[in-house]
Amino acid sequence: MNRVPADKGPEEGEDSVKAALEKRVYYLRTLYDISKELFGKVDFDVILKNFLLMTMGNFGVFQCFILTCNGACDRVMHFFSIGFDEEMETELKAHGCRSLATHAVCTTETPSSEHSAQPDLPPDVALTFPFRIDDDQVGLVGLGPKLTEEPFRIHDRELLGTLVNNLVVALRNALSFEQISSLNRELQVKNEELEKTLHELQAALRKVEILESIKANLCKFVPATVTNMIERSPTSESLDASERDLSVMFLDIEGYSRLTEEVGGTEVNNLVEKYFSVFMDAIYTNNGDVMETAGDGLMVLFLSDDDKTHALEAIRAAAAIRSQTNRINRESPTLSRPLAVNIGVASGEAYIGALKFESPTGSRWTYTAHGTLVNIAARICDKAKGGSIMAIRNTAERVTEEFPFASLGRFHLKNISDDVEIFELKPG
Amino acid sequence: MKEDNTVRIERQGRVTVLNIRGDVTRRSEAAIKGGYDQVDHEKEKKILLQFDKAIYFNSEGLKIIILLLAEARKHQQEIAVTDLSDHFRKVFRMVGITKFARIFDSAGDAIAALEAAKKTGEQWTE
Repeated sequence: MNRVPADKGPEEGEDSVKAALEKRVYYLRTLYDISKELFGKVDFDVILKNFLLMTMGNFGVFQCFILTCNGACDRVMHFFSIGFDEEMETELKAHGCRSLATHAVCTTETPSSEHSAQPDLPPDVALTFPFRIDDDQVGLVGLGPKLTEEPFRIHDRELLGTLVNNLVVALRNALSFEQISSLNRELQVKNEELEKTLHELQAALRKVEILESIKANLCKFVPATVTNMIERSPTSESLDASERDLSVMFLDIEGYSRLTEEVGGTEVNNLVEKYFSVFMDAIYTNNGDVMETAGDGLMVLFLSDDDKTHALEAIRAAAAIRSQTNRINRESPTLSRPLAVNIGVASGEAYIGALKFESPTGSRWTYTAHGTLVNIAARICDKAKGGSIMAIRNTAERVTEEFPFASLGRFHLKNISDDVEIFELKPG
Repeated sequence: MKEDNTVRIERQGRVTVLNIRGDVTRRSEAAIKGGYDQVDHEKEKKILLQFDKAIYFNSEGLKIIILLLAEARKHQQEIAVTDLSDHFRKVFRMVGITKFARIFDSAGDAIAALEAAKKTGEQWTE
């Protein structure tokens, strides 16, 4: 508070104290008004303009300006002025940033607290106050002479400093708000992109579901080996025929034709389904893959990478089929004679892969094994009678630890040049 | 705080009275400037701003009055102000408005003083 001059009378001194008090109250009111006005705004330009207008009213000046410059103090970013003509405004813009540079605002973290008019600014500017908003922006507020024609005093500078501090807080809030808004906008864009991607993914998922459904239906008709190969490598040449070691099993229901005549087509169908269902269990449990079906017969491949394993799996499947057939025969005594399933198994090298049949009306692909081994397996299945399981030496030797086979001797098989020794699995 | 401003213009002899109602804030600019712009600046050189004693001026309201005074100075108009509360009489004095406008207790006193001023441009302010 201003000190009462000693040379004045008590009454005059009292008036002076009262005036000073009123001025302080007015300053407080000003501070309240400015804070209320500025902190309700988030637009940078509006805050600067409003601050300028209020400052003009607070200090009672006809002229005032405010500008902000970039951190290097070489470019004006915002400029507002009241009461200056165009020529003066140009001068203020030109010298404002330079003035900030001389204040060292552009190189120090915080501006000095108070400044008088600067020599490089027009003489109409009676008071300036520099400020720093952040690392990228500094500013300068300048006031023309007071209407009262009094000089700016220390308390005017203090008030301006306090108001500018509030301004800086409001501007920083505005910048933060802008950053948040910008982040929000980016987030919104990303959300829209995500939503679009989600829709695309959902569409893709629907396509996959359709494809899965198609696959599930096709798998009923396509060997599992082929399905797996295509799944693993849809475009590779893995389907091309190649020679490898495998076991091939042929299975045939004895007297199928007689059975058809005896019980009729529908009943045969039911019987075949009933028996074949348990055959499939036995085959799939032992990693077999049904390549072909033909009425009463099946061709099944066992393709383990281990030679002994696929032979064992084939004979285990054959033994299980025989055992299950006997069980069903016991449980279903409707047939005049029990059903017999004859099985022939051969292990060794064979060609396996896709075969393509071209014709003018289209092409048909099939995946199967072929070669002498396959023919031998088919022939020994033909030779099997009464539900026996027959195999060649190669197979019998690979499974001998688990399954006892007995040689039946060497036989000439149709379309096979060399005689083949045939073994029969002893009944278990 | 009152929000809406009305400005009524009356002519009493050579004096144009702008009767201003409502608090003077940023929102008042259009009403007050609009009222002042209706004055014939070539002919009407004596203007009385008549307020309501209960009204409030904030910083931007003071700025509006200061800008109006600046305009009046350009047009060589004499401005009188009346019906201010004691507080705002002091504020007007503090910010220097009284350098460009005289404050009177009543409209009658103000009109009489404006009428009595011999010619435009004569020392008018306090």
